[in-house]
Amino acid sequence: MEAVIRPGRWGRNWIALGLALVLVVSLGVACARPAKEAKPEKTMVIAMDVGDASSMDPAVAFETASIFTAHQCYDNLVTFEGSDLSKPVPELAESWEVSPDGLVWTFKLKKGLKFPSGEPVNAAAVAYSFDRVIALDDQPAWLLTQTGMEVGSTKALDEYTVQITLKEKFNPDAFLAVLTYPVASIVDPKVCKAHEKEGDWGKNFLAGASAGNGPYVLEKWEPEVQVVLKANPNYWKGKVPISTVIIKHVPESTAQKMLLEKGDAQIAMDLRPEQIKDLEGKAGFQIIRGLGDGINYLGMNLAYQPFKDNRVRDAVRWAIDYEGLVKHVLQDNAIVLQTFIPKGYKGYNPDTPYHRDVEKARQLLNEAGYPNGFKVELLCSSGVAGGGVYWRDIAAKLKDDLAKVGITMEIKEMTSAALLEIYRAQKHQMVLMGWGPDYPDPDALAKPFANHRMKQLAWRNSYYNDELADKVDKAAAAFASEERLKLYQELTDYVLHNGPYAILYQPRVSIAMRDSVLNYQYNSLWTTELAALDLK
Amino acid sequence: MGLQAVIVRRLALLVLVLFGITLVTFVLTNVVPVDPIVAKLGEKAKPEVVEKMRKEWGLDKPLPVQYVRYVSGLLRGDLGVSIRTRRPVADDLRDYFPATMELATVAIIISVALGIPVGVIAAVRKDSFLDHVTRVFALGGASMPIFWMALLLLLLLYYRLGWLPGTGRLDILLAEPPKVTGLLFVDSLLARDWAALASAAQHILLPAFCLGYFSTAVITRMTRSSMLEVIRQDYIRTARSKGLAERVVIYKHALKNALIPTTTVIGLAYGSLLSGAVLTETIFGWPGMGRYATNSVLNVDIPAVLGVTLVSAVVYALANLAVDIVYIFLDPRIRYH
Repeated sequence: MEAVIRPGRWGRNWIALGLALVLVVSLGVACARPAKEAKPEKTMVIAMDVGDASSMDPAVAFETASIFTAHQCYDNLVTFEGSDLSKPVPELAESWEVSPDGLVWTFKLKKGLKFPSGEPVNAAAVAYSFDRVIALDDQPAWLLTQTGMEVGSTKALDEYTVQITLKEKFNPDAFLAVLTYPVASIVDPKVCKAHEKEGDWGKNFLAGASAGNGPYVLEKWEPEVQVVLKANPNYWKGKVPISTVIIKHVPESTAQKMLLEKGDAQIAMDLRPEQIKDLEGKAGFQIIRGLGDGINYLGMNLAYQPFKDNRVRDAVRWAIDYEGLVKHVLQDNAIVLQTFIPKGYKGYNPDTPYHRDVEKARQLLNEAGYPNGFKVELLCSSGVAGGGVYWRDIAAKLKDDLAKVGITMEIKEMTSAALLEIYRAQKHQMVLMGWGPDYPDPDALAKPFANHRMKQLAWRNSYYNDELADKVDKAAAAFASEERLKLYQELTDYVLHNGPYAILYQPRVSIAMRDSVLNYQYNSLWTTELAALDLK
Repeated sequence: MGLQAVIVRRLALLVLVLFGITLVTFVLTNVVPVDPIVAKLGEKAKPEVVEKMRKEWGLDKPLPVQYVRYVSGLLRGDLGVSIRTRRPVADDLRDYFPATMELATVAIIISVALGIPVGVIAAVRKDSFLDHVTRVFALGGASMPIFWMALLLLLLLYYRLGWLPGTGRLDILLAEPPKVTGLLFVDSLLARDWAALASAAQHILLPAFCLGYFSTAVITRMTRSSMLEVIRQDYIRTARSKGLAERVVIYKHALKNALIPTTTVIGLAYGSLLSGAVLTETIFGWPGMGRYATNSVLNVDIPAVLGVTLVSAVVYALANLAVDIVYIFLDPRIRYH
């Protein structure tokens, strides 16, 4: 049967209707710009990728964005000033002393300080804060427990005297460095207890709020949107110049740059090297550079036959064009580093003996029985490396360098999670990775890089050296600074020439901002001290 | 079968489909050779901490036990806790899905409002200059990488001309209206917050256009080709021979029939826009489900991946159901058995 078409009620003017709708919406929306509200006095907008944060509680925070935020809201017993990570200075503590055996620490607190709730910042709050971290036993808790602290180790001797008793010896320099980290922030026990649910020490509440006596209070954290910090009106060091800081989540660097250039943000945290170069010298902008504390390295697994022989590992080290990598691939957004303690840390060893020497590398391979080189698989992450370039670009440069001495590299790119799985299972041949220390002390690097018993980098690369591991322990236990530094010099020297790595570079960090931003100082632990900033 | 019966039957089928999907997703996410806890904690995590968290998340149990636990939770409305964000997956989805829904809805409105009229013009004036222009327009939509176009539009309309805002859903200094639905348009209307409404509308225009361009192109081409097919039919000739005005022939007789395949495309496009628009959301800093899904996959966040998959499946199924219902209105001869 032939279809009967019923006259419908369809509008006759589809075209007109459709176009008019789009036009009206577009014009209406474009024209109806909302009257911009008067900006509150001294508000700063920072464009940053804060997508990695999962909690702003200092007992949980362990990612860049959450550490940055937590640091602004809490004070610690001791801290670092500006960019200098070599010398802890008093913050809430007025003074401290340690027993000759290094086991008992006594801190005298500053008097009369108060949390925003009005509660006193006293010895009981310090004891509560440390016990809370250890009892919660979340991600960063090991920083405290590794020092030999446990629940009950911290005691209030009186209102303003707190004593920490360690179970075993831990290096005093390293101990103070750990106490600067957000995990050792002092929290307001009253606020935590008021919001405690099912014995969580207020962890759920503090994920999106703050209970410290730092310069800022966390007003709002909307994951994937923004973090809003308001000045703490009763901050004990005085009113901070910027009353509101909005950290806007902008994951894409091009969008960050546009916001900065339009003046909708004053600081853009995550620009790529070429974007930084574009803004450098441009009127109205400034670039603040600092040294990150990451170490980017090429790991060689001794479980893979050729790398058992140190002459092969040395050949790899001689094959790499370190200067070219830093200059051309990283566009000078890094410095060459070949030892495992970064510049700026105690124990830094500036030695960089390796440079590209194809002849020497070939000769070493020849001596080791690989005159025609060999094939090797390199794992690298699909993400971005320290210095702002993709890992794959660094890998491509290394492939080219190694090809010149006869080593054929096959690059396997994968997500960081997949790479770690293989690396932790020691199933790689070569790996391109970075390492960032958790606290600014050489021990935080010597352990992963040289002590296989820690089951970290040395172990993953099947580099088992008991003598070296003993020396790492000895350096950690050495109280006298000179003896300690000598041990780190020996350790870094030895690993440089014999270890399972070719350490490549230490990234620079370049942050672009409007020239109206004053007093910005980069700090590789917590990015910057917002309280010090001002706007012209 | 009546319309109500069709809907009930389809919804009942959806429940079965959802269980199938949870099973497949569960198995697939678990065969990936990545430990979700290591992915979350990073390379420095001590083995004992990894072990402790694995227990906390119940990942130390055999897979069938984990699945049964998951499904029984699901029946109670519990989607589990995200390993990455540490929040209940349902809470995460409640936050991120409305943002994507708002974006996808505006995108599809733009696509339909542009795509159908342009497709009709192209068909009616086949091989004219206008037809060629629409072909180029459609080709652009189908072939231009979305991130490239998004950056270009951002550069032009935000950076150079300053007509539209850059990123986010709302002006940074505006307070968000009280959250009721999570849809800023609706919430600001409910709160009679006109400034927020205008700001939300401004913010959504660019990302929605970028997101909708591809669908616009597809809808345009589909409308054009089905219109061309329909206007060759006998009944169109009959309508014309009856002396009806060309406008009546095209819009009253031809377009309605030509819209059936276009409706299918619209339904599918809406479903796919709703289930995530990763690149658009990344470039425009849009806190939606696309970014949530990507981050969850990259971090092997199994509960979150399962949650996102479930929502996507529901969205697709409902979009298809909606398309089928629209068919009935477009062509009353269509019956479902």
